Amino acid sequence: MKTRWILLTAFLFSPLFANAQGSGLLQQAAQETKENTVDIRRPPFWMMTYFEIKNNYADTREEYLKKLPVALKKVKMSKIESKNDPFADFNFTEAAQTQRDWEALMTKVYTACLDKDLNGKACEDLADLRLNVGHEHRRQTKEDREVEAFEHSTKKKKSKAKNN
Amino acid sequence: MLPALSIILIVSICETGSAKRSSSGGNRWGIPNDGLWCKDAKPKGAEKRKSDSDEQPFASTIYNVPRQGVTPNFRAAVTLNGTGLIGPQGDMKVTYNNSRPQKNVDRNGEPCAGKVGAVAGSAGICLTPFFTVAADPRYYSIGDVICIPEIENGSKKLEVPLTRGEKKTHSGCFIVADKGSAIKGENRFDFFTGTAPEKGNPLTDFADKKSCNQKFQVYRAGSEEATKRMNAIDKLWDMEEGSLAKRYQNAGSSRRVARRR
Repeated sequence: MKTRWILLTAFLFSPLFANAQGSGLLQQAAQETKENTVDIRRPPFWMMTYFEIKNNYADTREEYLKKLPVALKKVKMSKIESKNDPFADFNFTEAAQTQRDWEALMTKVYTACLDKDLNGKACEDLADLRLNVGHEHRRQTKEDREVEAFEHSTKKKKSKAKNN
Repeated sequence: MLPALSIILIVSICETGSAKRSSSGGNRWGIPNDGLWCKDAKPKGAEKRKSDSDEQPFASTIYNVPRQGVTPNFRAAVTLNGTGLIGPQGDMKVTYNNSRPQKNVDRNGEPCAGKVGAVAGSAGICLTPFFTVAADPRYYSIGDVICIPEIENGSKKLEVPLTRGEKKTHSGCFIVADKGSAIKGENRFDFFTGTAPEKGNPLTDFADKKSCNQKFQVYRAGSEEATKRMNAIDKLWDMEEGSLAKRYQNAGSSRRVARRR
């Protein structure tokens, strides 16, 4: 009798358990999707956006498009990459002309950058390129100059310590 | 005995804190050179923003572009702000290092001096006084819009002098249009005030130099929300609707793609 009740209760409540388990799985899946989603409008900014390139000084644009292929060579698109340089035949200057092409490239790179083990350093270098181009057009208030001098001396000290 | 000990302890903690801050130097506002003043003021667990609509505290300062004949002590002001305007319309600019005067134009060669534009920012777009900020490019891209909910919803009022000195209520939003080596971190902004000198400038008092009491939200470049706020700024400056959105080419770059590894 007791066993029958237990079985009946288990039968009645089984959908609830399944539901709870299901929602847990859904949550997990949602979390996983969120982690594997790239939003090219939000940081980390690995590359310049289409409008950042378009709305910039011509020399900055040229400098960026010249240095980008070199930086992108280090980014591996997947662990089982067949090609050594997937962008060997890619025309960056042409891609930068249309928003759709540029954002397709960005999405590809941003997706590769999700894999920190594979591309951590390469993507950091890529992000640094975006920050460092157009140096001559930078703002130069007294505060900016002081910070630059401070960073320069810190860098110098670090490299000196490394050499010693 | 116990109160004396606690006082000693508090003093030593404070000293350690100030030593930590001054170890990386600091600017005239007292913000350390690493720029991350708000890192201590951040509420626990707020280190990682969950979304752009998360309200976060920030530290802010102001910068301007002095104009010869308007700014007293012009040379000193140029040394401080890096650039200054000369000529009857402010159509030429000079820099702190005494290089040759250059035309005050944007990336396309269009003049920045005039009704709204004052000087071009790091991306070559003419800055809009009182409505543009310098921000850290690691976290923001040109055309992102930073809003202060307290001003936007009207619970706090900020009046700024616009066309011909006419005072208008600020919309509470600023466009990211510039960057500077001193502006570091997600919670650090520098408001551009045009040719208005620091003294007597409404944004000088408004800027939250280090207390991090004010909060902000972000609307990303290309989003409808950002464009809406740019249009509100157009209206305040008596500009045609869509002028700023066009200037920042702020249209339809919203692309969100999900990929599974």
